[in-house]
Amino acid sequence: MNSPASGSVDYLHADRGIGSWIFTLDHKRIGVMYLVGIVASLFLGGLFALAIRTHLAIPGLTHGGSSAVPTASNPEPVATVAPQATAGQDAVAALAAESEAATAASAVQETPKRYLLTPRQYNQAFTLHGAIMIFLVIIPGIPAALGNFVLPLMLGAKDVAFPRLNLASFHLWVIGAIFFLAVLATGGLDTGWTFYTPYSTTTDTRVVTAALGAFILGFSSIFTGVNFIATVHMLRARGMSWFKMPLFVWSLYATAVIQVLATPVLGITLLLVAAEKLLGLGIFDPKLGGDPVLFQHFFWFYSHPAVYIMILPGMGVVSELISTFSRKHIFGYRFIAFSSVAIALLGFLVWGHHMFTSGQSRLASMIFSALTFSVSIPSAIKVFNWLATMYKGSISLQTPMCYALAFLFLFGIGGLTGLFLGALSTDVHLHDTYFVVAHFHYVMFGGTLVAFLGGLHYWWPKMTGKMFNDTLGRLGAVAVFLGMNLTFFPQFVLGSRGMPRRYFDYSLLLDRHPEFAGLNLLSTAGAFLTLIGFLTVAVCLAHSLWRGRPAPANPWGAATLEWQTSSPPPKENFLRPPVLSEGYDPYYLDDLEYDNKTGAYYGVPLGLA
Amino acid sequence: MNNSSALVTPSALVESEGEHHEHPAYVAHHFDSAEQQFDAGKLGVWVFLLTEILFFSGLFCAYAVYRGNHPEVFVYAHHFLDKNLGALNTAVLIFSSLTMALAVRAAQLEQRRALIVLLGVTLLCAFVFLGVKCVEYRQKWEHGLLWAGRYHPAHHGEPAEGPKGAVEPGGVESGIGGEPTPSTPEQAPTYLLQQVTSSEAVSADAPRLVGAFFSIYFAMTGLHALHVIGGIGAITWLLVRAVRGDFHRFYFGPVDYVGLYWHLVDLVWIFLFPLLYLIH
Amino acid sequence: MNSDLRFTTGCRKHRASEAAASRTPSRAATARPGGMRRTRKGLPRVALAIAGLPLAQAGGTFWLPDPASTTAHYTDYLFQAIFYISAFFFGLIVVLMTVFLILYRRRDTRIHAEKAPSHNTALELFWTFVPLCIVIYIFAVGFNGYMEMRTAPPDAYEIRVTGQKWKWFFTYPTGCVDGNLHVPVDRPVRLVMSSRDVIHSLFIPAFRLKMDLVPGRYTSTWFHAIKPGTYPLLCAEYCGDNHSAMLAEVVVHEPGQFEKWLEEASNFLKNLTPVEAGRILYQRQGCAQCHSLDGTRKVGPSFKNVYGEQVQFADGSSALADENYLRESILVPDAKIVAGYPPQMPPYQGLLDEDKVAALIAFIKSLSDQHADEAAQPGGEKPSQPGGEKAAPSSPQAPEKPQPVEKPQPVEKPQAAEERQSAKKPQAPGNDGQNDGGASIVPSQGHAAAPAAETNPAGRPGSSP
Repeated sequence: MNSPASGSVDYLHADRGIGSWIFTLDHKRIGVMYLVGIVASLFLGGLFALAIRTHLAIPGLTHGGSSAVPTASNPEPVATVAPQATAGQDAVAALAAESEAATAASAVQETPKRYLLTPRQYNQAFTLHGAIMIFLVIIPGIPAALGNFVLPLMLGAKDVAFPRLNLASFHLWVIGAIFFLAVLATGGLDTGWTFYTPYSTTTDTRVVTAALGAFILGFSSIFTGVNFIATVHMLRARGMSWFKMPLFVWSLYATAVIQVLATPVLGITLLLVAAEKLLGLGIFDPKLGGDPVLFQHFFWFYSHPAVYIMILPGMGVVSELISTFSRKHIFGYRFIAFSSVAIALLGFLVWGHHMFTSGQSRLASMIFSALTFSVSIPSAIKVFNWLATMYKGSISLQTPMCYALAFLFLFGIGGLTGLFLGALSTDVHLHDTYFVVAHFHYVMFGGTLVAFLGGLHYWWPKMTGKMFNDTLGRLGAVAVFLGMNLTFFPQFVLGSRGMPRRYFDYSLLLDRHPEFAGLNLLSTAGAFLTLIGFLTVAVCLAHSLWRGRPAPANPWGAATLEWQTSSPPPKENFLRPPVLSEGYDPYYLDDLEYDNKTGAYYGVPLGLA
Repeated sequence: MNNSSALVTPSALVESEGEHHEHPAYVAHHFDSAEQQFDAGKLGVWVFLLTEILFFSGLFCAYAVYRGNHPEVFVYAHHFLDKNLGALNTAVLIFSSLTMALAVRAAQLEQRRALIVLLGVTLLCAFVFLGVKCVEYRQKWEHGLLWAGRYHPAHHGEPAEGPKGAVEPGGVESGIGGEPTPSTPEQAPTYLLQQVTSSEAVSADAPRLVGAFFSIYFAMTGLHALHVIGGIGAITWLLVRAVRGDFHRFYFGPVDYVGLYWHLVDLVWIFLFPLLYLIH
Repeated sequence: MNSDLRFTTGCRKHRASEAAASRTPSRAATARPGGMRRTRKGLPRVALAIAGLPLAQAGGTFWLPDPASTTAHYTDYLFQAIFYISAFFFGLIVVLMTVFLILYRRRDTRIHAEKAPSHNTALELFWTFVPLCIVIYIFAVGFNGYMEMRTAPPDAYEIRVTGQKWKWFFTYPTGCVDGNLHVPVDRPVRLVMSSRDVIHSLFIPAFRLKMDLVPGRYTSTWFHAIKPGTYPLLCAEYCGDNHSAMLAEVVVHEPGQFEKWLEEASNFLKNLTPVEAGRILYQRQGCAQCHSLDGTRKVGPSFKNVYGEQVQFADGSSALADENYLRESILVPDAKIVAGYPPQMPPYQGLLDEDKVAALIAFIKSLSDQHADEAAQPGGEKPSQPGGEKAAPSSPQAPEKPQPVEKPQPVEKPQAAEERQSAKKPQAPGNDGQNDGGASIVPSQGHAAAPAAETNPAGRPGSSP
């Protein structure tokens, strides 16, 4: 089974023509299409992030003064800062100055204050950054792109249970993305990705389009979830019992449960918002007897579990990576598997911790706070088990492992700062400040996105049949890691010292908090370093497509089933469906031997026929 | 359903799996057998129904919150709903559930003719349900009994008109716009109370914010009606396939799945009817 | 200005010193790897030096601003506690990771890992229960602090807070409305809050206080300030275009001073000229958020030279901006929308009585180059310092008015109690602006505007120099 598919054509070349991709039922091709779409969305969302950070870089940019004669005082801030700035910030300043000059004319018309973005543009930038990153990138990122590709392979199945549903899920994703682009083209959206009422029902931006887009994306996500649940239940290879499934599959299964149970609530909520906006339904409108806080309950009933939709698959990826690159059996398989399920279930009970300051009752706050802490336990278990896996391992710092270690570091910070926000008295102070922004970026970016990148590099040879340049890959990982920290660590300080999130202009706070200027500048510099990191990753992977050497079936030496077929796999996944015997263990790696010449691992894992 | 086949002896399975034995046309290539396909489909449908339940549960929660906040509105406003039509619809839907269940049985027994007839009757019931719903909506429309934002009750005998001044979104412009609607009178700024009570539109027995009830009413029954329409589409598809003769004792999954869905639609209505029409 | 206050005020109460004590250990170097926090101010100094910007962190610890309320120490203590717990565990993770990475790095001679157990239930239960105990502790402490922060003492002084895009209104028991929150230092204050439009959130970092303002219902919160001074008050819930400008100040008055301030603030219409009173209302009623005085375009048209102009409307018509037009625009803004501006202004019908409308109109008239003199006539001298370029009379007025914000104009009655004020209220029913509150902002306006037209629109609360 380890032999390359000499007789069969791999899935990439099995059929030709654009139609063979768009209407394919092959989970691998759907996964690859998802991947392309998600990376494109990531790029778009990243542009908005850079716009935000550049806007906030220097208070001089946002704080031009009220004068009708801008030339008198305004060049000053930029001018005074730039000479002292290091090269990096200099570039930032220069870039900011440029774009400002470009928009100067319109800015003056709009408002004589000198802004990189107008308030409306800024509000749209962070809204679309959030909405795109969450609905188009992070939620489908690992499950729909990587999971779609890998899950049936890991289970030894020929496809997911419902290939048509899978394709429909992708098509819905595309339609949802088109809705978002339509929002962009027709006037934007300025509600924040949270759509809080009554702001969202009173603003004149494209709330209905965006809500319908997110609704459609929700169904895309539900279809993926339904598919994964049925696949895991019904299509495991012969002999693969539940506890012989790779941990990534466990995490996807737990994720699918959340997707199926939580997403519909978001769906109905967004429909109600759209109906309220279009018809004046009034369910969330206090003037009509509605309750705006009810919206928050509905919204967070989905959106907090959605956080686990985002992070659980990332944890699953890291479980695979750490075991493989430590060449050691994962430590505490059952604890990790059950902790995924525990997180999924407990995750449904904690939504109220987003609302400690919303005026909900003290009893509710108390219960939600207590339950919130209960979710932190399974996460802690996972982290310690990963560390224990490394103990006495044979650790190779190849690119995917670099991402896994970065994940441990960043998710460590993200998770621990969650304690500040779960505790009632500290959350009151920190809620809706940059502390929260930093926290969830450490989890979403430092956790999910870094795991996504790790998984992408890990399965890249399997998906494309090409090996990437490991040095360049590691360079990208380091740049992303450093950039990420530089961007978001200062935001913890900003937030705990009192800078609220979603602030177009912090110059008015500078009298009291001069430190905000420097911290924001650092953060912006970090954003550009992150950009360099992502570009490096893109160059590395693109280069491999043209110049990469052909990938062996098992380049990393893992024992899970996807490595037991050729790279890239044949259309039907396995030439012979794998059959597992009693002794199979997806994490028993000692039977695989490394061959220095080919840079690949050979041998059949224990218990595989 | 749960494929806990850890103990299955591998050798036997290698035998059955080793060569690509012929799949019947009705079994998709990635399933081993018709049973596996059926079970997978059924699991998928159940999971999807779970999704549907949570979809509706959002509205049921909204209903609970609304009714908790404005109990008097619900008691007052439900008189506008026609209990007889509601009961008729309930009967129609329950009957259609029965015919649907019989249709599944007919599919299993390969009684093609009975299957077609039963599916036809179910479809008919669905249309009757929608027809009655249209009649009800039309009545509401004519009397201006729409959701809160469009709630402009016409003058008619029964419990009189709604409190126009307090309900209209235009109330904002009256100068006190957006002032909190106090949950207890003593919290209310006195001028607000005066404003409300002095409003000539308020009749003695009509509570404020009656539109809220109709918002919930239209949201819930509207969403349910959309599901009925979806069901009509699905049953029509089944009917076409039944006429074509697609179903037999090894392949009747789609009838079963749509049947499950239809029962859920029925079930939701069985909750909606008492919650909206039969309030005391 | 706040720094002066911080250093001059000596009345650190016991709670404050407690909080301060709990802070001190944070000076010690922590075990946090990566050198992210060496000394209390080490990092920002380095960071800011790198950034080439002035540092001067405005007080407090590295993480938190100076606490200024009796409940702030609950937050600060727990923050510190979680910080050390987190630092410990994070350090543990990173140290173990690094050590393992070095000790067990892959060597060419050895591809496979040593044999090691693949699970150890006792160990795993151990690291399930240790975090469990810790989070129970954190929860308990947090809950305890939260209950204190949410339970207002029964004798608290009650102030009504209203949020509206993008301004704050604080209504005192006398009926006086102010754009800043003035409170006494020596008693707890309860805020009863609601919003007129979307959700806002009242955030006072120095008090570690935050509570949403929800339309359609009342929320409440409370605090007990311990240090006189001024503190920023922010909106923390995103509320639209000018969210970041929805700022105000908390002015904590020295013992006895608050009553004086309130007394004076409640009677300003009587004591001042219409133009001057109008200027105060311009600040108090939030006009300044959207209407400049110097011709700058903000959300709405500038007040400069509006009076007497021919105004173009969105529907194509036009009208002469006379008193009646101004009055209608204030009370029912949507009646006529000036071409090129969004119809965003909330109606003031019912919020302003006739005297105030008249004062505002007088003030707006004073901003018109042609009519300034005329407007100034009845009002005496001080109509217009705005914008510096105003050719209007009396620049001498500017220096006269500026007063330290937190020093209210001393009025005669030093210990005016609330009863007295409330008793007074009926006498001057129309007057619910405030005199000295005006003074607190007007000078800053004067300051900002006087050195010619440069910095921020001083109308914004919280931007005082």
